[in-house]
Amino acid sequence: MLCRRFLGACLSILTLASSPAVFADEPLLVYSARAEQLIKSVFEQFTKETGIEVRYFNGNEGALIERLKKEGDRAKADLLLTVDAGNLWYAAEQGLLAPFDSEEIAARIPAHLRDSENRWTALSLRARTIVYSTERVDPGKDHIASYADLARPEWQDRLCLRSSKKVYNKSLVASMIAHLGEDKTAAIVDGWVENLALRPLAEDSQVMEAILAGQCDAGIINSYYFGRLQAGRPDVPLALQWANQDSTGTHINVSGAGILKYAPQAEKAQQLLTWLTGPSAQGLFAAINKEFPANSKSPIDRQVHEWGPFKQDELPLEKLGELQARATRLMQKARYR
Amino acid sequence: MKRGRSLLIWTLAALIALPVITVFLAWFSPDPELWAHLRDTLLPEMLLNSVLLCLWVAAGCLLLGVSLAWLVSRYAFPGRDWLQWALVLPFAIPPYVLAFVYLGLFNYAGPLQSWLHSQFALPGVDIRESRLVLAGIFSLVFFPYVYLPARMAFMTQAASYDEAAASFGYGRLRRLRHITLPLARPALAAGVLLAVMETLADFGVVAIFNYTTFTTAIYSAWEDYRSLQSAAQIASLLVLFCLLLMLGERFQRHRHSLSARSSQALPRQRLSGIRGWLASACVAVVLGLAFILPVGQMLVWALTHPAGAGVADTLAWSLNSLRLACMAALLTVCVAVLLVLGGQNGSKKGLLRYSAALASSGYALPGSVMAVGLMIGLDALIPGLAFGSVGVLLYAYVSRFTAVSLGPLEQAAAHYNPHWDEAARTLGAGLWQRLAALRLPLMLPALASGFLLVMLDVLKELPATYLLRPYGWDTLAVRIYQLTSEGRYQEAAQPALLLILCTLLLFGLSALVRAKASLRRFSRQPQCAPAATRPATQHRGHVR
Repeated sequence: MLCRRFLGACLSILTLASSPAVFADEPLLVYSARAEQLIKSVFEQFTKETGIEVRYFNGNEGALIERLKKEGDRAKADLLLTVDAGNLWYAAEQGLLAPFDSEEIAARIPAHLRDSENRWTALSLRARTIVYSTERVDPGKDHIASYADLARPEWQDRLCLRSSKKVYNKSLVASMIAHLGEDKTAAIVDGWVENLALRPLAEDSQVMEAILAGQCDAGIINSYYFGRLQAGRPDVPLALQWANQDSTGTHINVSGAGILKYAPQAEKAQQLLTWLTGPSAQGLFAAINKEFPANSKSPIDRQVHEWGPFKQDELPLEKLGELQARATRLMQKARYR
Repeated sequence: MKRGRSLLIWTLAALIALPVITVFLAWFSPDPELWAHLRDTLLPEMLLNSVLLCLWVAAGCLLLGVSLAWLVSRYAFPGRDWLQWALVLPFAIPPYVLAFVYLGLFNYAGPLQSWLHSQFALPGVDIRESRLVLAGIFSLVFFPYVYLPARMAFMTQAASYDEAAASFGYGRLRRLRHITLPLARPALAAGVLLAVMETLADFGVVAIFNYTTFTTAIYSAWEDYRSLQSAAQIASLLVLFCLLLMLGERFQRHRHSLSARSSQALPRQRLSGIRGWLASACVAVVLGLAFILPVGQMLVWALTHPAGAGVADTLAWSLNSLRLACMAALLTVCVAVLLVLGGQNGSKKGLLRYSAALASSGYALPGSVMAVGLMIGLDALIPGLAFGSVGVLLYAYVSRFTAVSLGPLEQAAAHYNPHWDEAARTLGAGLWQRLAALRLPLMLPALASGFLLVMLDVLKELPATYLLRPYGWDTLAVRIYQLTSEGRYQEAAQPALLLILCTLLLFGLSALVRAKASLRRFSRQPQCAPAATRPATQHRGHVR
C-alpha cells in the first residue's frame, strides 16, 4: 500500500515535470541568427530592467527557419531574431510568425521597416553602400554617386565585391529590380562583373582589406563593417559614399524580430519586442555593431553620426524578400559568383 | 537465423543512413524549372570544379601521405621517432581555420607578398584564383588519412617479399612501385576516399575561396531559392557519386585480399649525415606548413585580439566539445562493431560490403543537409519528437561518422583468421566467450583508432551541432563559427587554439593508453600462443 502510494507520488512528479505548463518564472527563449556577442548585453539589460530572464539559441538563418518549420509548437521558442529583410519575410511567409499588437512599436518604427501585417519589425538598420580609397578615388571627379556608376567602364578592374551568395547582395539587387526593372538591373550587374578586379570575396571586411592593399579602388559593403574597422584605425584611408542620393536613396537592410506563432509566452515576447524598439535597447543594440537605430528618435552612436545624414531607400522591406530569388537568378546568369 | 541476422544488419545500416534516405526521397517532388536554371548557370562549373578538385586533393594526399610514410617506415634519420607521431597533428586543424590563416599570410595583402613586392617588385597575385592552392590546403589537412594507413601497411608488410625482390636486383624505387605500393593499395584507397569525401562535403574552405562546388549548388538551391527539395536532390547526386566510389574501393579491396602482413618488419636503413638531415627537413617542412604555421599565427592573434569571453564560458564550451565527442565516439564505435561482426558472414560476402557502404553514406552529405535530412526522417518516424536534444545530436554524429570508424574495423576484420574461431569452438567456447576472449581483444587497436578518429571529427564538426544542439550545449566549433561568420577571424583564434589543445589532449591520452597496453601485452606474451599474438601486433598503431 505504502509502495503504491509512493509510486503514485513519483508518477505525479514526473508528469508535472514533463507537462508543458508554463511557470511564471520560465525564461523567454529567443531563436537568434545574430551571433551571441551582438545580443548578449542587450538581453542582460532587459533582464535588469524587467526581471524577465531571456535565453537564446543561436543558429544559421536558413537552418534555424527549417528547424522552426519542422518543430512547430514543440519549439517552445518565443521570438525569432534574424538579419536581412528577406529572411524575416520568408519566416512570415512560412507562417512561423504571429502578428504583434503594439501601438508603441507602430509609433516608433516607420511603416516601411515593418511587415504590412505586423508579423515582424526591424530593430536596427545598416546601409549597404559604396566604400572607396581616399588615396586613389576623388568623389568630385570619379563617378561614384550610385550603384549604377560602379558599372561604368571607368571602373574597369577597379571594383571589389563580396560574393553574390551573401544575402545582403541578394537584397541589394532585389531593391534594384524593384526600382529599375529586371533589364536595367541585369545591365548594371553585368557591368559590375566586367569591372571586377578580383574574384568576389567571402566577407565585407575582405573587400575593405583588398582596397587598402591596392587590389581595387572601390566596393560595396554594409556600413557597420566600415564602422568596426574605423573604430580600431581612425585614420584608415577609406571613406563611405552614400549611394543613390539623387534618386532612390541608399539601400537599407535590417536586423529584426517577430513573435513566433507557437510562442508559449507570447505576451512576454511582445513585451520584449516592444522593449527592443524602445530607447534603452535601441541605443545599445545599434551601437554594439555600429548600426543605425530603427527607431528614428533614438540617438545614433557618435562614430556613426560622423558619417553624416543621408537619404534612405524607403522601399518596403518585404518587397526585398519577394524579389530575392529573382535577384539571385539574375546574378547567377551574369556569372557573378 | 542467418536471414534474421542480415535483416537486423540491414535495419541498423538503414537507420544510420536515415538522413541519406530522406534526401533521396526528395526526388518525388522535382522542380524542373529551377533545375533548368541551375543547369544553365551553376551545374557545369560545379561538376568540373568538384571533379578537378577531388583529383588534385587525391594526388596531393597520396603524394604527401605515401612519401612521408615511406620515409618514416623505411629510414632512420634524426628526429624520426617523434616526427612520425607529430605528422598526425594536422588532423587537429579544422580545414576552414587553415584556409583563413593561409589567406591572411600568403594572399595579396599578406606579409609574404608584401615583402616580395617591396624587395623584388614582384607583382601581387590573388592566391584564391588558383585551384592548386585550394587543393594544397585540403591536402595539408587530410593527408594523415593516407599517411596513417600507409605507414602501418609499410611497417607491417612482410619483409620476405621485399628481400626476394632485392635479391633479383630490383632497386629501391622499383621495389616501392612493384611490391610496397601494390600491397598497400587497399589501405591507401580507403584513406584517399575519406579525404575526397571530406573535400566534397566541405563548405567552409570553398566559401572562403568563393569556389563553386557541389556544396555551393546545394546551398544555392536551399538558401537562394528556398527549395530544400532541390538542395536534397543535388545532395543525393553527391551521395550517389560517393557511394560508387565507396563500392569501387571495397571491390578492389576484396580483390586484393592477399594477406601480406608479418610481424617481421623490414629493418630501417640509417640515413647518415646530410641525407639524414635532409629527410628530417622534408618531414619538418610539411609539419611546419600544416601545423606549426597555423598554430603560430593563431597564437599571435589570440594574444593581440583576446576573444572577450569569460573563463567559465570558455571552459563550458570546451567541456561540451569533449563530452559530445566522447559520447558520439563511443556510440559510433559500438554501432560499427555490430555492423562488422554481424555483417561478416562466411557465406555471404556482399552483406558487409553493401551494408557498410550504406551506413557510411552519411559521410558524403554536407553537415547541415544531413542534419535537416535527419530532422525530416525522424519527424516521419517518431512524430512529436523534440529536436534539440543530446540524443538527436548523437544520432546525427553516428549517422555522419560511422564511415570513419568502420574503416579500421573492416580492415581488422578482413585480417581475422576464421580458423581461430573454429579452433576456439572445438575447445568449447560459446559465442560470447569467443567474442570476449578472441574477436574484441584482437580488434582493440582498430577500435581505439576508430574511437579517436570519430572524436577528432566530432570536435571539429559544426553544421549539425549548430542546428541540433540543445540549449546550453554550445561547443568550441560553434564559438569559432560565430566569430568567423562576422568576419572576426582574429578573435576566433582563441577558441580555435583551445580546440586544437583538446585534440592534442586526446592524442596524448591515446598515446598513454597505448603505451600501457603494449606494456601489458609484453608482460603477457610468454603465455600466449604465437599465432594469437601476431594479429594484435599487426594492427597496433593505426593512429599511434
